[in-house]
Amino acid sequence: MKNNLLVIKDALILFIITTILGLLLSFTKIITDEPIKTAQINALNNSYRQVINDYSSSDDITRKVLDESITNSKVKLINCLKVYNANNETIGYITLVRINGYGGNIDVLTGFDLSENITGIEFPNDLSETPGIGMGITSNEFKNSFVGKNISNIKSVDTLTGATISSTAVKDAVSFSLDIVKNAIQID
Amino acid sequence: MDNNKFLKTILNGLFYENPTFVLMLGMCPTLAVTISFFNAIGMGLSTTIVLILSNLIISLLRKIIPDKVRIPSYIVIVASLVTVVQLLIQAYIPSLYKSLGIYIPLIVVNCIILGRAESFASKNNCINSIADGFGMGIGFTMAISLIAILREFIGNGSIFNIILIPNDYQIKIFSLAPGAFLVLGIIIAILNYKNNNKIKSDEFSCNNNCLNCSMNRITKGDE
Repeated sequence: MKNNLLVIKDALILFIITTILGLLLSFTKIITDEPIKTAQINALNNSYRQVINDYSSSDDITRKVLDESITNSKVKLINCLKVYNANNETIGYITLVRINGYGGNIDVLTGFDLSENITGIEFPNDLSETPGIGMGITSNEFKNSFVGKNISNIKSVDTLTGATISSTAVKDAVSFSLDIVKNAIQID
Repeated sequence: MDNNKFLKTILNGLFYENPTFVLMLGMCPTLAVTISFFNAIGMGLSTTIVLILSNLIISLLRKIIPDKVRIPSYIVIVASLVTVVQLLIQAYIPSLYKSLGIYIPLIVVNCIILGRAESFASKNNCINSIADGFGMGIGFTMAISLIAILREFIGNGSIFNIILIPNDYQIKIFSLAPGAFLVLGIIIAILNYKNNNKIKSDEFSCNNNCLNCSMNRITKGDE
Protein backbone atom coordinates (compact mmCIF):
# COMPACT_ATOMS: atom_id res chain seq x y z
CA MET A 1 0.00 0.00 0.00
CA LYS A 2 2.87 2.36 0.86
CA ASN A 3 4.44 1.59 -2.50
CA ASN A 4 1.34 2.79 -4.34
CA LEU A 5 1.36 6.06 -2.37
CA LEU A 6 5.00 6.63 -3.27
CA VAL A 7 4.31 6.05 -6.96
CA ILE A 8 1.40 8.48 -6.85
CA LYS A 9 3.54 11.09 -5.07
CA ASP A 10 6.33 10.78 -7.66
CA ALA A 11 3.89 10.97 -10.53
CA LEU A 12 2.25 14.03 -8.98
CA ILE A 13 5.54 15.90 -8.68
CA LEU A 14 6.40 15.08 -12.29
CA PHE A 15 2.93 16.31 -13.29
CA ILE A 16 3.43 19.60 -11.43
CA ILE A 17 6.86 20.17 -12.98
CA THR A 18 5.51 19.46 -16.48
CA THR A 19 2.50 21.72 -15.96
CA ILE A 20 4.59 24.66 -14.75
CA LEU A 21 6.98 24.25 -17.69
CA GLY A 22 4.04 23.97 -20.08
CA LEU A 23 2.62 27.25 -18.78
CA LEU A 24 6.04 28.90 -19.08
CA LEU A 25 6.32 27.70 -22.69
CA SER A 26 2.83 28.95 -23.60
CA PHE A 27 3.57 32.32 -22.05
CA THR A 28 6.82 32.63 -23.99
CA LYS A 29 5.09 31.66 -27.24
CA ILE A 30 2.40 34.29 -26.71
CA ILE A 31 4.81 37.15 -26.10
CA THR A 32 7.14 36.16 -28.95
CA ASP A 33 4.46 35.58 -31.61
CA GLU A 34 4.29 39.20 -32.79
CA PRO A 35 8.07 39.89 -32.85
CA ILE A 36 8.66 36.63 -34.72
CA LYS A 37 6.09 37.52 -37.41
CA THR A 38 7.64 40.99 -37.77
CA ALA A 39 11.14 39.50 -38.02
CA GLN A 40 10.00 37.05 -40.71
CA ILE A 41 8.38 39.81 -42.79
CA ASN A 42 11.52 41.91 -42.47
CA ALA A 43 13.70 39.00 -43.56
CA LEU A 44 11.47 38.39 -46.58
CA ASN A 45 11.57 42.07 -47.61
CA ASN A 46 15.35 42.04 -47.21
CA SER A 47 15.69 39.09 -49.56
CA TYR A 48 13.41 40.84 -52.06
CA ARG A 49 15.70 43.88 -51.90
CA GLN A 50 18.71 41.67 -52.49
CA VAL A 51 17.36 40.40 -55.83
CA ILE A 52 15.86 43.71 -56.95
CA ASN A 53 17.64 46.72 -55.40
CA ASP A 54 14.82 49.25 -55.71
CA TYR A 55 12.14 46.93 -54.32
CA SER A 56 9.55 48.95 -52.45
CA SER A 57 6.24 47.06 -52.68
CA SER A 58 4.65 44.30 -54.69
CA ASP A 59 1.43 42.65 -55.83
CA ASP A 60 0.91 38.92 -55.55
CA ILE A 61 0.10 37.70 -59.09
CA THR A 62 0.69 33.98 -58.44
CA ARG A 63 -2.83 32.93 -59.35
CA LYS A 64 -2.78 34.96 -62.58
CA VAL A 65 0.39 33.39 -63.97
CA LEU A 66 -0.33 29.76 -63.14
CA ASP A 67 -0.75 28.39 -66.64
CA GLU A 68 -1.25 24.79 -67.72
CA SER A 69 1.20 25.10 -70.60
CA ILE A 70 4.24 25.96 -68.47
CA THR A 71 3.95 23.47 -65.67
CA ASN A 72 7.08 21.52 -64.86
CA SER A 73 7.11 18.20 -63.04
CA LYS A 74 10.33 19.04 -61.14
CA VAL A 75 9.83 22.69 -60.23
CA LYS A 76 6.93 24.11 -58.26
CA LEU A 77 5.92 27.78 -58.31
CA ILE A 78 5.31 29.11 -54.82
CA ASN A 79 5.00 32.84 -55.40
CA CYS A 80 5.11 35.35 -58.23
CA LEU A 81 5.21 39.06 -57.44
CA LYS A 82 4.94 42.17 -59.59
CA VAL A 83 7.42 44.62 -58.10
CA TYR A 84 7.06 48.39 -57.72
CA ASN A 85 9.62 50.97 -56.66
CA ALA A 86 9.10 53.85 -54.23
CA ASN A 87 7.26 55.87 -56.92
CA ASN A 88 4.84 52.98 -57.52
CA GLU A 89 6.27 52.27 -61.00
CA THR A 90 6.57 48.66 -62.15
CA ILE A 91 10.25 47.76 -62.18
CA GLY A 92 10.15 44.01 -62.53
CA TYR A 93 9.05 40.66 -61.17
CA ILE A 94 10.12 38.26 -58.44
CA THR A 95 9.46 34.52 -58.39
CA LEU A 96 9.90 31.98 -55.62
CA VAL A 97 10.12 28.39 -56.86
CA ARG A 98 10.88 25.11 -55.14
CA ILE A 99 12.92 22.27 -56.62
CA ASN A 100 14.35 19.07 -55.17
CA GLY A 101 18.11 19.38 -54.66
CA TYR A 102 20.55 16.83 -53.31
CA GLY A 103 19.71 16.86 -49.61
CA GLY A 104 16.20 18.33 -49.72
CA ASN A 105 14.18 21.17 -51.17
CA ILE A 106 15.87 24.26 -52.58
CA ASP A 107 13.78 27.46 -52.63
CA VAL A 108 15.11 29.83 -55.30
CA LEU A 109 14.10 33.51 -55.24
CA THR A 110 14.77 35.20 -58.59
CA GLY A 111 14.44 38.86 -59.55
CA PHE A 112 13.76 40.02 -63.11
CA ASP A 113 13.68 43.44 -64.75
CA LEU A 114 11.12 44.44 -67.39
CA SER A 115 13.32 43.12 -70.23
CA GLU A 116 13.11 39.64 -68.67
CA ASN A 117 16.79 39.77 -67.60
CA ILE A 118 17.76 38.28 -64.26
CA THR A 119 18.71 40.87 -61.64
CA GLY A 120 19.70 38.44 -58.91
CA ILE A 121 18.99 35.15 -57.17
CA GLU A 122 18.77 34.30 -53.47
CA PHE A 123 18.01 31.33 -51.24
CA PRO A 124 15.63 32.73 -48.61
CA ASN A 125 14.97 29.46 -46.78
CA ASP A 126 17.16 26.80 -45.16
CA LEU A 127 19.13 24.52 -47.47
CA SER A 128 20.07 20.92 -46.75
CA GLU A 129 22.82 20.59 -49.35
CA THR A 130 26.18 19.08 -48.42
CA PRO A 131 28.37 21.66 -46.66
CA GLY A 132 31.49 22.56 -48.63
CA ILE A 133 30.10 20.92 -51.76
CA GLY A 134 26.43 21.49 -52.64
CA MET A 135 26.26 24.52 -50.36
CA GLY A 136 28.62 26.20 -52.83
CA ILE A 137 25.46 27.36 -54.60
CA THR A 138 25.21 30.07 -51.94
CA SER A 139 28.56 31.56 -52.97
CA ASN A 140 28.47 35.06 -54.44
CA GLU A 141 30.36 33.77 -57.48
CA PHE A 142 27.66 31.25 -58.37
CA LYS A 143 24.75 33.57 -57.61
CA ASN A 144 26.27 36.40 -59.66
CA SER A 145 26.78 34.11 -62.66
CA PHE A 146 23.01 34.31 -63.21
CA VAL A 147 22.80 38.11 -63.24
CA GLY A 148 22.01 39.57 -66.66
CA LYS A 149 21.05 36.22 -68.17
CA ASN A 150 17.77 35.67 -69.93
CA ILE A 151 15.94 32.86 -71.76
CA SER A 152 18.40 32.87 -74.67
CA ASN A 153 21.63 32.39 -72.69
CA ILE A 154 20.55 30.72 -69.41
CA LYS A 155 22.04 27.44 -70.62
CA SER A 156 25.53 29.01 -70.64
CA VAL A 157 25.68 29.31 -66.85
CA ASP A 158 28.39 26.99 -65.48
CA THR A 159 27.46 24.35 -62.93
CA LEU A 160 29.72 23.73 -59.92
CA THR A 161 32.40 21.04 -60.12
CA GLY A 162 31.56 18.21 -57.74
CA ALA A 163 28.12 19.68 -57.02
CA THR A 164 26.31 18.80 -60.21
CA ILE A 165 22.96 17.90 -58.68
CA SER A 166 22.69 20.98 -56.47
CA SER A 167 23.81 23.50 -59.09
CA THR A 168 21.81 21.92 -61.94
CA ALA A 169 18.72 22.07 -59.73
CA VAL A 170 19.24 25.80 -59.29
CA LYS A 171 19.70 26.24 -63.05
CA ASP A 172 16.48 24.32 -63.74
CA ALA A 173 14.63 26.38 -61.15
CA VAL A 174 15.81 29.65 -62.70
CA SER A 175 14.95 28.42 -66.23
CA PHE A 176 11.43 27.69 -65.07
CA SER A 177 11.25 31.11 -63.44
CA LEU A 178 12.21 32.71 -66.77
CA ASP A 179 9.28 30.93 -68.44
CA ILE A 180 6.92 32.07 -65.70
CA VAL A 181 7.97 35.71 -66.01
CA LYS A 182 7.76 35.59 -69.81
CA ASN A 183 4.15 34.46 -69.36
CA ALA A 184 3.52 37.09 -66.70
CA ILE A 185 4.69 39.92 -68.95
CA GLN A 186 2.59 38.61 -71.84
CA ILE A 187 -0.65 38.46 -69.92
CA ASP A 188 -0.08 41.89 -68.39
CA MET B 1 37.54 26.59 0.41
CA ASP B 2 34.37 27.28 -1.59
CA ASN B 3 36.29 29.39 -4.06
CA ASN B 4 38.73 26.56 -4.57
CA LYS B 5 36.02 24.08 -5.51
CA PHE B 6 34.46 26.65 -7.85
CA LEU B 7 37.73 27.13 -9.74
CA LYS B 8 38.53 23.43 -9.67
CA THR B 9 35.15 22.62 -11.20
CA ILE B 10 35.72 25.04 -14.06
CA LEU B 11 39.19 23.68 -14.79
CA ASN B 12 37.72 20.20 -14.63
CA GLY B 13 35.33 20.94 -17.45
CA LEU B 14 37.95 22.75 -19.49
CA PHE B 15 40.78 20.23 -19.34
CA TYR B 16 40.79 17.22 -17.00
CA GLU B 17 37.31 15.98 -17.93
CA ASN B 18 36.82 17.77 -21.24
CA PRO B 19 33.40 16.59 -22.49
CA THR B 20 34.62 15.93 -26.03
CA PHE B 21 38.12 14.50 -25.62
CA VAL B 22 37.79 12.74 -22.25
CA LEU B 23 34.14 12.09 -21.42
CA MET B 24 33.29 11.72 -25.13
CA LEU B 25 29.77 13.08 -24.70
CA GLY B 26 27.81 14.84 -27.41
CA MET B 27 29.57 13.15 -30.32
CA CYS B 28 26.71 13.72 -32.78
CA PRO B 29 26.75 17.51 -32.81
CA THR B 30 30.54 17.40 -32.57
CA LEU B 31 30.82 15.53 -35.86
CA ALA B 32 28.10 17.53 -37.60
CA VAL B 33 28.93 21.07 -36.54
CA THR B 34 32.72 21.00 -36.89
CA ILE B 35 32.63 21.44 -40.66
CA SER B 36 32.95 25.19 -40.28
CA PHE B 37 34.77 27.18 -37.58
CA PHE B 38 32.01 29.79 -37.40
CA ASN B 39 29.29 27.17 -36.88
CA ALA B 40 31.34 25.42 -34.21
CA ILE B 41 31.81 28.59 -32.16
CA GLY B 42 28.12 29.43 -32.47
CA MET B 43 26.99 25.95 -31.46
CA GLY B 44 29.49 25.82 -28.61
CA LEU B 45 28.40 29.13 -27.10
CA SER B 46 24.68 28.30 -27.42
CA THR B 47 25.32 24.96 -25.73
CA THR B 48 27.27 26.72 -22.95
CA ILE B 49 24.38 29.06 -22.19
CA VAL B 50 21.86 26.22 -22.15
CA LEU B 51 24.23 24.10 -20.04
CA ILE B 52 24.70 26.82 -17.40
CA LEU B 53 20.96 27.46 -17.16
CA SER B 54 19.94 23.80 -17.09
CA ASN B 55 22.58 22.99 -14.46
CA LEU B 56 21.33 25.92 -12.37
CA ILE B 57 17.66 24.93 -12.60
CA ILE B 58 18.26 21.26 -11.92
CA SER B 59 20.54 22.10 -9.02
CA LEU B 60 17.81 24.33 -7.55
CA LEU B 61 15.25 21.53 -7.87
CA ARG B 62 17.52 18.68 -6.84
CA LYS B 63 15.83 18.20 -3.46
CA ILE B 64 12.35 18.24 -5.01
CA ILE B 65 12.71 15.93 -7.99
CA PRO B 66 12.10 12.32 -6.87
CA ASP B 67 14.84 9.88 -7.73
CA LYS B 68 12.63 7.50 -9.71
CA VAL B 69 11.36 10.15 -12.15
CA ARG B 70 14.57 12.15 -12.43
CA ILE B 71 15.34 11.32 -16.08
CA PRO B 72 11.96 12.43 -17.49
CA SER B 73 12.13 15.50 -15.26
CA TYR B 74 15.58 16.49 -16.54
CA ILE B 75 14.56 15.90 -20.14
CA VAL B 76 11.39 17.98 -19.89
CA ILE B 77 13.29 20.80 -18.13
CA VAL B 78 16.05 20.88 -20.75
CA ALA B 79 13.62 20.65 -23.68
CA SER B 80 11.46 23.49 -22.34
CA LEU B 81 14.53 25.61 -21.64
CA VAL B 82 15.88 25.15 -25.16
CA THR B 83 12.48 25.92 -26.71
CA VAL B 84 12.19 29.12 -24.68
CA VAL B 85 15.72 30.15 -25.70
CA GLN B 86 14.93 29.38 -29.35
CA LEU B 87 11.69 31.41 -29.32
CA LEU B 88 13.44 34.38 -27.66
CA ILE B 89 16.31 34.35 -30.15
CA GLN B 90 13.92 33.99 -33.08
CA ALA B 91 11.91 36.97 -31.89
CA TYR B 92 14.58 39.40 -30.69
CA ILE B 93 17.88 38.51 -32.43
CA PRO B 94 16.79 37.35 -35.92
CA SER B 95 20.30 37.63 -37.40
CA LEU B 96 21.63 35.18 -34.80
CA TYR B 97 18.68 32.89 -35.45
CA LYS B 98 19.45 32.84 -39.18
CA SER B 99 22.99 31.55 -38.63
CA LEU B 100 22.30 29.21 -35.70
CA GLY B 101 18.63 28.39 -36.09
CA ILE B 102 18.94 24.74 -37.03
CA TYR B 103 21.43 23.94 -34.28
CA ILE B 104 19.42 25.18 -31.31
CA PRO B 105 16.89 22.30 -31.21
CA LEU B 106 19.85 19.93 -31.57
CA ILE B 107 21.15 21.09 -28.19
CA VAL B 108 18.34 19.16 -26.48
CA VAL B 109 19.75 15.83 -27.60
CA ASN B 110 23.32 16.80 -26.77
CA CYS B 111 24.26 14.18 -24.20
CA ILE B 112 26.49 16.65 -22.37
CA ILE B 113 23.44 18.45 -21.00
CA LEU B 114 21.74 15.34 -19.66
CA GLY B 115 25.06 13.81 -18.59
CA ARG B 116 26.08 16.80 -16.45
CA ALA B 117 22.57 17.16 -15.02
CA GLU B 118 22.68 13.54 -13.95
CA SER B 119 26.23 13.36 -12.62
CA PHE B 120 26.87 16.84 -11.25
CA ALA B 121 23.95 19.25 -11.00
CA SER B 122 21.74 16.77 -9.15
CA LYS B 123 24.37 16.35 -6.44
CA ASN B 124 25.92 19.79 -6.01
CA ASN B 125 24.83 23.27 -4.97
CA CYS B 126 23.88 26.05 -7.38
CA ILE B 127 27.17 27.96 -7.46
CA ASN B 128 29.27 24.90 -8.25
CA SER B 129 26.70 23.70 -10.78
CA ILE B 130 27.02 27.01 -12.62
CA ALA B 131 30.80 26.55 -12.55
CA ASP B 132 30.44 23.05 -13.97
CA GLY B 133 28.08 24.27 -16.70
CA PHE B 134 30.48 27.06 -17.60
CA GLY B 135 33.56 24.82 -17.56
CA MET B 136 32.00 21.98 -19.53
CA GLY B 137 30.41 24.39 -22.01
CA ILE B 138 33.58 26.34 -22.69
CA GLY B 139 35.55 23.07 -22.77
CA PHE B 140 33.12 21.77 -25.37
CA THR B 141 33.40 25.02 -27.35
CA MET B 142 37.21 24.92 -27.32
CA ALA B 143 37.25 21.25 -28.34
CA ILE B 144 34.87 21.57 -31.28
CA SER B 145 36.50 24.83 -32.37
CA LEU B 146 39.86 23.05 -32.55
CA ILE B 147 38.37 20.22 -34.60
CA ALA B 148 36.54 22.72 -36.82
CA ILE B 149 39.62 24.84 -37.54
CA LEU B 150 41.46 21.73 -38.71
CA ARG B 151 38.56 20.33 -40.73
CA GLU B 152 37.70 23.62 -42.39
CA PHE B 153 41.32 24.45 -43.20
CA ILE B 154 42.37 21.04 -44.56
CA GLY B 155 39.02 20.07 -46.09
CA ASN B 156 37.82 23.41 -47.43
CA GLY B 157 41.01 25.46 -47.48
CA SER B 158 39.34 28.29 -45.59
CA ILE B 159 39.08 29.96 -42.21
CA PHE B 160 35.84 31.83 -41.46
CA ASN B 161 34.82 31.18 -45.08
CA ILE B 162 37.85 33.05 -46.46
CA ILE B 163 39.45 30.65 -48.93
CA LEU B 164 43.20 30.34 -48.29
CA ILE B 165 44.10 27.14 -50.15
CA PRO B 166 43.10 26.72 -53.79
CA ASN B 167 40.51 24.09 -54.76
CA ASP B 168 43.02 21.58 -56.15
CA TYR B 169 44.87 21.20 -52.85
CA GLN B 170 41.84 20.82 -50.59
CA ILE B 171 41.42 17.34 -49.13
CA LYS B 172 37.63 17.17 -49.33
CA ILE B 173 37.26 14.07 -47.16
CA PHE B 174 37.95 16.19 -44.10
CA SER B 175 34.75 18.12 -44.76
CA LEU B 176 32.74 14.90 -44.73
CA ALA B 177 31.89 12.40 -42.00
CA PRO B 178 35.00 10.18 -42.24
CA GLY B 179 37.20 13.24 -41.84
CA ALA B 180 35.41 14.14 -38.61
CA PHE B 181 36.21 10.75 -37.11
CA LEU B 182 39.81 10.96 -38.32
CA VAL B 183 40.49 14.38 -36.81
CA LEU B 184 38.74 13.49 -33.54
CA GLY B 185 40.60 10.19 -33.22
CA ILE B 186 44.00 11.68 -33.95
CA ILE B 187 43.53 14.50 -31.41
CA ILE B 188 42.41 12.06 -28.70
CA ALA B 189 45.36 9.79 -29.50
CA ILE B 190 47.81 12.69 -29.14
CA LEU B 191 46.22 13.81 -25.85
CA ASN B 192 46.23 10.29 -24.42
CA TYR B 193 49.86 9.83 -25.40
CA LYS B 194 50.83 13.06 -23.63
CA ASN B 195 48.72 12.31 -20.55
CA ASN B 196 49.75 8.69 -20.17
CA ASN B 197 50.17 7.86 -16.49
CA LYS B 198 49.54 11.50 -15.56
CA ILE B 199 45.80 11.23 -14.75
CA LYS B 200 45.24 9.76 -11.31
CA SER B 201 41.93 8.12 -10.53
CA ASP B 202 41.08 10.43 -7.63
CA GLU B 203 41.05 13.42 -9.98
CA PHE B 204 37.73 12.36 -11.48
CA SER B 205 34.84 14.26 -9.93
CA CYS B 206 32.91 11.05 -9.33
CA ASN B 207 35.83 9.69 -7.25
CA ASN B 208 35.89 6.55 -9.37
CA ASN B 209 33.06 5.04 -7.35
CA CYS B 210 31.87 2.81 -10.17
CA LEU B 211 29.69 0.55 -8.04
CA ASN B 212 27.47 3.44 -7.02
CA CYS B 213 27.78 5.36 -10.26
CA SER B 214 24.54 6.87 -11.49
CA MET B 215 25.22 5.59 -15.02
CA ASN B 216 25.34 2.11 -13.51
CA ARG B 217 21.88 2.52 -12.02
CA ILE B 218 20.36 3.23 -15.42
CA THR B 219 21.48 -0.10 -16.87
CA LYS B 220 20.93 -2.11 -13.70
CA GLY B 221 17.32 -0.99 -13.42
CA ASP B 222 15.66 0.37 -10.32
CA GLU B 223 15.35 -1.72 -7.20
